[in-house]
Amino acid sequence: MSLDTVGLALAGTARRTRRRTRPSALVVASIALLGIVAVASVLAPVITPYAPDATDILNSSAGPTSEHLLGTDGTGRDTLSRLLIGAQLSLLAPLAVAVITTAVGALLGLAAARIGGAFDMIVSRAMDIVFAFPTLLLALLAVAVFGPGLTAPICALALGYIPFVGRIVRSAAIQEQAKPYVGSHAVMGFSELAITVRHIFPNIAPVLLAQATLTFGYAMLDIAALSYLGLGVQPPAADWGSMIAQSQSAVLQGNLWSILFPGMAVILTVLAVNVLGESLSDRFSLASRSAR
Amino acid sequence: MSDSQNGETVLRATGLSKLFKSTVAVDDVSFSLKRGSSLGVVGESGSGKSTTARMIVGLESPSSGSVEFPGATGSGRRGRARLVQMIFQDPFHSFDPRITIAEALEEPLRLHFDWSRERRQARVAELLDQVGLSTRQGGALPRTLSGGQRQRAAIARALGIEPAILVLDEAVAALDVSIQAQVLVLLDNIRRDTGMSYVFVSHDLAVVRYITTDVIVMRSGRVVEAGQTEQVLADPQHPYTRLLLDSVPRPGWDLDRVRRGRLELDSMKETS
Repeated sequence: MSLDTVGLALAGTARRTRRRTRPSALVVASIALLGIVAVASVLAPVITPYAPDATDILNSSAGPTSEHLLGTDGTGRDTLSRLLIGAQLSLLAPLAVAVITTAVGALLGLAAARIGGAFDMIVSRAMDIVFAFPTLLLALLAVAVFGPGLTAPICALALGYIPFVGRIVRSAAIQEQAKPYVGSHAVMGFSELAITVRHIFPNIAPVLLAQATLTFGYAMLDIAALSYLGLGVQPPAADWGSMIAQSQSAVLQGNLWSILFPGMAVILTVLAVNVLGESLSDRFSLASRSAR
Repeated sequence: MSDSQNGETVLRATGLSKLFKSTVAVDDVSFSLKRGSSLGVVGESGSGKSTTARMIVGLESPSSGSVEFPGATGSGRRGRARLVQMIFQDPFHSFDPRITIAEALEEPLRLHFDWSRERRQARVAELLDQVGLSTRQGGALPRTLSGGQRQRAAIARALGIEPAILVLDEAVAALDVSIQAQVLVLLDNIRRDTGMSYVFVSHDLAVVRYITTDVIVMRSGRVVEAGQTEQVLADPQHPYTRLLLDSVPRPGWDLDRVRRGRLELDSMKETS
């Protein structure tokens, strides 16, 4: 092969890759927003202008001013500071749900697909049963049994979302293991476990990543809802859901500002996560289709 | 090709049968393979030849009958892998799409041999060279290679394990005729050099004539004719073998003969 043809071939590959991997402006904006939120939440203790629970009673229920950039809530606490500190819990709790769900769901889905038979049937039916439960209801049930706080709802939400991940991983693994390379590796002497870990899992990992992202978005909404109901994060700790709840009285007094910012924070973050998750899942289902 | 007489038997299939639910895919098939020889398994689609191949490598377990490897020492999946390897019809999907050809070739070496990294990589380079692939192609992902290149890579990967037997299931059927010839010459050279035995599953009689020493003809899961390739193809005894031969387009080809052959076969079925 002459150098020219190699160059041409490489150029062709590069062109194809670029066209396929270039994300839309919306996706880029979502990633940027999530990046900012993540960095802000990590740096929160350093960059907050006020202590999150310091009250400025003279300036309570105020709109944005030069002193309080995003205004204050009904007890005069700085909204920006609480928003930044609240981001930590608001992101960590759904992250925990996404991690547990993805790990357990992937394990169950892979095991069901690879072992098959009665094991597959039992796991699949069990997932169907959990699937039939509204996830938020499951979380409410957990709070009712174990009391308010984040641990119980995190576990309950993780349990509730496992079937979503498990089913998708199972069907992706079943599709993957039908490919002849799985048989050719068995003929080469590799154990089923080695084939699963080294070949099937890495090939379905992108699907899992997309699903984990979507789970994060759902869990974030659910936890915000629980906190809003006063069942999740307990005062004086703050997350965005509890900030919305605590701002209700301010809204009744005609101050929309204190509910606007935490509300926007939840909406924009969940939206960004969902845009990213949908784009990932579209991309990878498309990739697997075109590779066939 | 008379080297088939003097080798010892490396593979013996006795009364192999396979049922899928109530369908009989393979029905009482027996054959043996000598070291350095090449057995063709021919028949049309659905004749059970692929299922037979899959039973030899252990991808399907026989419903009854047995596959034996006389003189074999290893056991289990890894032991069997050292005895018999398989080349699949679809060269694309027999590779993990994520890893390069060279990595795919190194993987089984790591499993089967207690070698250093350098030694494995040297062996990979040797294997690539043996099948006529460049180092650059070795570093490429499977999807960037052509069908013929992938099939040669698959052959290299199987050769790396140094099996006694290579099962080729329609291994050249998906390739262009010129590439087909290239791969066949490669396979024939390897057999002469290493004394490896082949089970060559194909519907293409021209290919079978070139590459095999012995042949069995399968129809509806049964062996209808067996013998030395030259003899069977020159003087077919069973009407089905004659029909297969008549079905190959060539100068002076006559479709009516094919039709008469079908009729003869169908009338046989009614009387049996």
